Amino acid sequence: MSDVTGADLRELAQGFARFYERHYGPGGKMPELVSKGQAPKYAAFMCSDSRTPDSIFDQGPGGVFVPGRSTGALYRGYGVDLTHDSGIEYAVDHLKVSHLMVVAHYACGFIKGLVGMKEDQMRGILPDLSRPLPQLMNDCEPFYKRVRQRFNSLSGCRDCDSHHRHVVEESARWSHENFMTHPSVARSVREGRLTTWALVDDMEAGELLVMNPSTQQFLPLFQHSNPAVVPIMAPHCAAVHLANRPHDRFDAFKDTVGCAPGKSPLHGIPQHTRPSLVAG
Amino acid sequence: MAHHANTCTHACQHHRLYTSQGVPALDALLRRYATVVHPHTYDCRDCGQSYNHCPQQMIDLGQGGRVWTLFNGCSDSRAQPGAVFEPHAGDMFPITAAGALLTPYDKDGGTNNAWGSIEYAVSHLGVRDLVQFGHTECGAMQGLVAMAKGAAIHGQHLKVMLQDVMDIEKGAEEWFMQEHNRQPDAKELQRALEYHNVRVAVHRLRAFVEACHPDKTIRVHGWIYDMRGANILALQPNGHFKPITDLPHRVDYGHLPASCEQGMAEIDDRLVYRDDADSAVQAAQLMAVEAA
Repeated sequence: MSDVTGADLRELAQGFARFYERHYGPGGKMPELVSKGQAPKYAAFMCSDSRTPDSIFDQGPGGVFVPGRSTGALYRGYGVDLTHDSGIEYAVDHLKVSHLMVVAHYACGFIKGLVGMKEDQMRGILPDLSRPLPQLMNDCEPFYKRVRQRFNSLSGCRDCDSHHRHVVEESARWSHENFMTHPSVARSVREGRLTTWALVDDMEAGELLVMNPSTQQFLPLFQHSNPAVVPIMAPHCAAVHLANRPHDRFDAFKDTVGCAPGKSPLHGIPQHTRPSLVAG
Repeated sequence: MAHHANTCTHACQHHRLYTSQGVPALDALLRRYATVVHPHTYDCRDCGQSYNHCPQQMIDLGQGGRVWTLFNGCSDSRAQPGAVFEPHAGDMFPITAAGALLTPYDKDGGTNNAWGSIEYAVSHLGVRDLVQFGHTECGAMQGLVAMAKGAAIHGQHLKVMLQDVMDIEKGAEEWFMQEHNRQPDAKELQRALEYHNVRVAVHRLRAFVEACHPDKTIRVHGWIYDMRGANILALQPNGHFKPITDLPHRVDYGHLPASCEQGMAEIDDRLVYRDDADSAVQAAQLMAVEAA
């Protein structure tokens, strides 16, 4: 059996104590969430990365349903992973969420590892597919093919941060497109009761980026970008980074998604009533 | 951690980048980001100082610099491990799926994201604590109970997924009958199922560790978030669950780190699992479930 010192796990107990005080105390919403059940507006596909907690949305308990949280935040399309398909089905058809999001993030170790493994394969270094991680990465072949197609048109910069950023953004676009292969999502979008989003958490610059569906470009959700933080990156990459995200485009973008600076476009959407999971 | 000393104070270089522009409107927006977009995740545990946002430290260290525990939790919006335990950024590697269900580890097949993610955490991030994190009032378990009672289930994928784990439902029922010498009603069965799902997943996690990482000391825990009771219960070697602490009912949140020594001692006591005769019984029961 396990032998645990408990030293590290104490911190979790402390965290739970804070959670208890905040959400079970006066004005806390947990008692109601327990008696009435959850009714989240949002469902988010997120990466397991420890630096992108679901608390980035500050919705508290009951706010965001997370149908699939695993390395890389990749939704590989309908029919590939039953767990993900079931989670989306539950979120969209049963909980009637209004928004389905994929939240990728820069500095993603899984995406870096995936690209590295695939490039090794091209050089003849074969992964050990008896292990779950290489197997999972191998199953992401369609995504890698798409990345190759895109990045063959880019010159140089293969190992730099800018390259990685483009791959991460592409992963969010890919997952976002794949959402529509799920019948529940396609039907709900068609009926106008679900909106899908692709987001990227830029923890380095302190920004949350959202994809403009018409241009496929990622732009800050909040208009607070400070060019001074960009020099954290190498100058060349910083230039590419800025060139791809001109902040003067934000005004046009916010009209598209209907948000004002500092206000999320995800607010103010009416909830739907929720049917019972059990039929008859 | 030489870099740490330069980045975790208010005077750090990158904090200056955020605040030294002398534009009040800009500062206000940055504060909004710190408190709204990334709330309560950037307090420095090492030096005790608080800083709102220091991305450079996290980028430099990478998540491997801090991660020590993996949580396999449920998709439920009320039971996200990142919300329930309020970990610091970089501490916790959570994976989630409906019902926190974990299929058996099979290194020869399957495309289950969960095992790939667990392997990533153990092999590449050095995670040494794996926590199976279930919760009460679970919709997936409710569906499983309904299915066992013969009700039709909305949703073709949910149906297939729940059919795959009907063995857990049978195990839960058997466990309850052994304990109480009677059949459970629907509510009792759901609670028994929520508990048994954790037992089975813990067993599967241990099987994974033994098969893939026999040379590493990896600890596997089974925890349940009891939503009604507002507590966290930990799986004990005899297969029962015990609250890890009564802490939430009597601590002063504002003085938690300094005033909870007694509570912390209790946590230590309840989290030190020891080999005993019961553990062999539990292992045998879980093996029987797996075999079935």
